[in-house]
Amino acid sequence: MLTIAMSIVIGTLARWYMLRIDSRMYPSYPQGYLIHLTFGAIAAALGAVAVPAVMAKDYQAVTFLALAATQFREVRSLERETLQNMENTELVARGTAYIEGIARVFEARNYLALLASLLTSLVAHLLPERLVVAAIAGASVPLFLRRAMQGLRVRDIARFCEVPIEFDGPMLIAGGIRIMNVGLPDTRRKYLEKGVAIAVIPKDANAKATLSNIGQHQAMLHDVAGQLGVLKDTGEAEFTPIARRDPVSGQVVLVIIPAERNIEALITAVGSVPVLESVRRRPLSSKAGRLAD
Amino acid sequence: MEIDVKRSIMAVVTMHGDRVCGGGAPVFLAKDEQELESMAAAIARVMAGMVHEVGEGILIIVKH
Repeated sequence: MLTIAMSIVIGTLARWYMLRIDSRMYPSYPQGYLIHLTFGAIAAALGAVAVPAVMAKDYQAVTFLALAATQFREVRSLERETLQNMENTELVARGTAYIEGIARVFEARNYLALLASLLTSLVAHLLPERLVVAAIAGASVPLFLRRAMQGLRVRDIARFCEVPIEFDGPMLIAGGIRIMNVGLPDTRRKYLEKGVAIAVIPKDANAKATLSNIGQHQAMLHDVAGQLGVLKDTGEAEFTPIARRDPVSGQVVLVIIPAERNIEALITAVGSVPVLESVRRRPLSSKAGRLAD
Repeated sequence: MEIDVKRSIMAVVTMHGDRVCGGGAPVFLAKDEQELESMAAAIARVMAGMVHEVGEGILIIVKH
């Protein structure tokens, strides 16, 4: 009984730990916090009872783990739905790829709680005299997986530099890339005065393929706008931040009118955007990709 | 369910009525450059659209 309780506590703590480290990904509303802690505790409970059930030759108990997997898929759709419903209220949309990425992370973190409690319970059964060892083993799961689950950030796959904004007639050009047609002279003036353009230059062919994804562009725009603010209100479509890609070099230029014009902060914000796991490509791992590089 | 029109020309604002034919979108005639810009800006704000210049004195408002 003690081992089960301990496993549940450690699994729940693992979930709590993952809730805390990522404040940006997590919209910190107290209800959401409670929902995910509760799900984490349920996951931990399932992991904790699995080992004693198998020991007692109650193999049916394993099917509960399958039930858990179904439950956690629900968590994913719950998060996806929430974020999709919020999408209309965002000045700069997250984009479906980013939403999918966040939802997936929430599902994965429940499995983490399950794994942590499963390992605690397993070690506690193997070494019933040394419960401390079991606790350490369980706690090491989130500590080790934390880095692995964080994934890459844009700064790991790209370099950044500021590029000038200029106009050719109505056409806004930044870093040699034609970005968009701006019809009103007032808007053009505002872009010239307050706009910033950042070129995101991929480091290799893998990064180039990954950065070509539109969902990744939207994620960068959303995070930058979220962290630096954007000079835009509802109905002002012309001030929506925009990203365009140079098909030859693969570099992506982001044009935004931030509330605060600070290049260093902008580059930091773009750099810390996660590389969405579902858009990652690795052409260099294929023979054709290496030949083409 | 909300239905929203996207990627469509909401209106045309021009100083040259002879160069624009009526079609899917309403055409607004402006008498000078200042009116052209203010009309386009007003329509764009109301429709949450973006103003694009397709030719000298011809602006279209597009919802993206």
